[in-house]
Amino acid sequence: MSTVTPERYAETAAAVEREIGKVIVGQRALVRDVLVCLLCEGHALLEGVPGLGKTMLLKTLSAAVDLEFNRVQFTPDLMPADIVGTQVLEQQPDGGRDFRFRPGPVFASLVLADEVNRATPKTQSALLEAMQERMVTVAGATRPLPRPFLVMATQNPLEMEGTYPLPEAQLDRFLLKALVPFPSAEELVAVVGRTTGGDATAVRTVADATELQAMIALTREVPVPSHLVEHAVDLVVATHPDKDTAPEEVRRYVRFGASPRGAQALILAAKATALLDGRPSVAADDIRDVAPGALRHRLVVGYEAVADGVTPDALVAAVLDAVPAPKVGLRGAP
Amino acid sequence: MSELLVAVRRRLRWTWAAATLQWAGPAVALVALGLVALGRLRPWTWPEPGAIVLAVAAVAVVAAVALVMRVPDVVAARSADRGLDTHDALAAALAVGDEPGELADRVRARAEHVAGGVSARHAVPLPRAPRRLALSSVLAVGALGLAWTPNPQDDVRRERAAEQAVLADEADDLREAATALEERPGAGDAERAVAESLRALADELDDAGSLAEGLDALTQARPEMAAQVPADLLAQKAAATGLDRSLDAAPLPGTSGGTAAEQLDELSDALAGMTPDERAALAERLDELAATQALGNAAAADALDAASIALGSGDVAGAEAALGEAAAAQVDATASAQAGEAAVAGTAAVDAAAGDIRRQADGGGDQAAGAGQGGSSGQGDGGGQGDGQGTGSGTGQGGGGQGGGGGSPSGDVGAGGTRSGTGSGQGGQGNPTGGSGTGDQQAAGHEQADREVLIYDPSYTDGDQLDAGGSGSGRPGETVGRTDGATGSGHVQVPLSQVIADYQRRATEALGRGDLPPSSQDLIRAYFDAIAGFGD
Repeated sequence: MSTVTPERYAETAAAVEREIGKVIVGQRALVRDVLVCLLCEGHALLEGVPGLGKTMLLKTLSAAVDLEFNRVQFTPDLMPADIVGTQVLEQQPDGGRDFRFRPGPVFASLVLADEVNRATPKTQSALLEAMQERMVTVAGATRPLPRPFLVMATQNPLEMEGTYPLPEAQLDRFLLKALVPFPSAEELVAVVGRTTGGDATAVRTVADATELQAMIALTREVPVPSHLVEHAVDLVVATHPDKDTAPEEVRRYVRFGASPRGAQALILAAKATALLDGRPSVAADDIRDVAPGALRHRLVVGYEAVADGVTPDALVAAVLDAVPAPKVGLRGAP
Repeated sequence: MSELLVAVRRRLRWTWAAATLQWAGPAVALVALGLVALGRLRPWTWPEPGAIVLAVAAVAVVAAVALVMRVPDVVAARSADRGLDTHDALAAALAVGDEPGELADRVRARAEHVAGGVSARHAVPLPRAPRRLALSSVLAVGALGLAWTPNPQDDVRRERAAEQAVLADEADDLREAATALEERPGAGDAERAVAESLRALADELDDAGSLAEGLDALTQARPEMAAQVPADLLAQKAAATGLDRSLDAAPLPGTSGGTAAEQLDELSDALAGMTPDERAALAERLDELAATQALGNAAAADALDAASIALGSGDVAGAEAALGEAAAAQVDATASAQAGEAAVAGTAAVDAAAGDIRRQADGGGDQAAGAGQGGSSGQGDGGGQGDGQGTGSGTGQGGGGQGGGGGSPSGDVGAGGTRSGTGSGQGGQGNPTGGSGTGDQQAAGHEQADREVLIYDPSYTDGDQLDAGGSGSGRPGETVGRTDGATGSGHVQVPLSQVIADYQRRATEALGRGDLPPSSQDLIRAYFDAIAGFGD
């Protein structure tokens, strides 16, 4: 595996963002979150109404980093084999017949699972198992998925009729959950201008799988001071309503807090964020910046929150307020 | 980076001190203000100094802790990271340590870059808590202002300080008196016991919180000490001393001189070798000596008398035994007189201290004015008027039936104040004062008492009881003293100016009769020469 310097890491990531920015108007935070998930080799869960460019985002990303891209539209009748692939009986040239594995759409480095909550839990599990294990087993044969491997699943928050909301254990598999906001009027003007013209914007390839693998490896090498690891843990602990550090909002509205994967997600995403920012080490702000994306889908809120209109983001904000950035603990110190 | 961390560590100590002082400042200033305010309500001497000590101690303690407190590198690094907003670059470098690898090198390089050219002052700015500072300042200014303005309690404090000074002076005086007692020639256990009592009393005065307490201690201690003074101390002393002097001037036959006891002892061994004439002369001499001891040392008088009779009857062995008893009685009388004198000296020291304290309690001798009115009553008829004496033990010697006598009545008779009353005794016209001594009488009239030189009246020869009480504090009607001691010759004082002429006349007559030993004649002349100036 080739290596990459932090400077090259930041340059490449910036180049990827620039290329995506040629196609996707605005949505910088969304692009950054997806890029972070790619560099951490995690998966992203996007929540937003249709038509906001989610598919275009991943398609553009695949072009910029020269990775294979597949899109799966999840429907209630979608079967696991439609995701992971299946054995088909084929006529051989010698006249014989043999089973051949036909890979499903999950066999791509970039997979868009559109409206993942519309498929049955069984199909969802097939995808989520592949996301976790990064391999699929069909007919007794285990096949690794290509690396890097990023699944970007989307959920439509509006049309909940006939959907199968992802269970908490499945949601925990996503490194980050990004919210796809509706663009501003200026951005919408630009979107309309770009998408209704004759010439398609050409996206330049600025990285490849090898370099991405090196960047992923570098991401995991980023040092994190112990007090920052403790800070990430403190944040996760504060999401549990039975803990002393939990704010009042959490005690009132949260049924279960984030799992240990939440702390892992905080640290991993913070490492990528630091490198993207050109720094070789993590800062407290990196952890706090990624906290909403890393924790919002890991909070199991009660019906009181729904009734009171309290969003997970508000709860994460309350946690951030309750657990400020680590101080030195010495009076008079900054 | 290491240099920056060292500087930051040092800087953190002082920022901690500054922040702590700002944090604790309002509380310290508030307590200081409270102490100063307390000092205006109570006459205690410690509130204002306590406020200063509190403030100084707070600063000193914080500074001391700041000096010794340990600031780890990671704390310094994190502080500098926060102060310089370096995104935890320095802390990350510490976490990386000496790990190999390109990324670790970048982390260290970045930390060095961040630390380069940065001062600790910039990294760790001095903390400021304006509200707390303002509150502390207001409270401190309030405390200073309150301390600066005149305090009505200062007068009380000055008075108390003066009282303590008086008590300390008197305690010193008592200790000096104790030392003087112990250093007396021939001082023994009696002197040491009295000295010890005086020192204990001095310690009580040191611990006394007020003049009243000190006076109370003296008043309580005095009776016990005065009780050690034999009623017939002066008679004892006169008898014992007189015998010593008499035999010193004219040693007993067959002896080689020395004290009376030694001569009597030696004489008992020499009796066997005497002729009958010598024994007869000796019997007559012993009879005369016995007569001189009758009042002050009855045991010696009896023994001498017995020896005289035995010698007269030719009972040498009986005379020897009687002389041995006389010698022992003389030794006992001398020791008793010595112990009594020690007690008198101790009592005098206590009385002097009590008198001084009383004067101070009354505003000092400067304010002494007026004369007390007292009265004394006794058996018999007679009226007298006299002046009390503030301190001192009354010693008097008057001519009694036996030619000697003394008295040392004790009682609470105070200083000054013209006393009138009725004395007792035959021919009891005079000015009985109830004896000398100290008591609770106030200092009023003290100046008058100082001017008037008193002397015991030998004409007051009756040994009956005198119960003399009097008041003389300058506040008419206040009874302040009483004497219940034994009275006798020498217990009544009269102004020297009134009797000096009569005394001199009598002395001249006695000297003219020629029945006094030459040494006694010289002593009498010297005595009247010495007091001649006081009778004017």
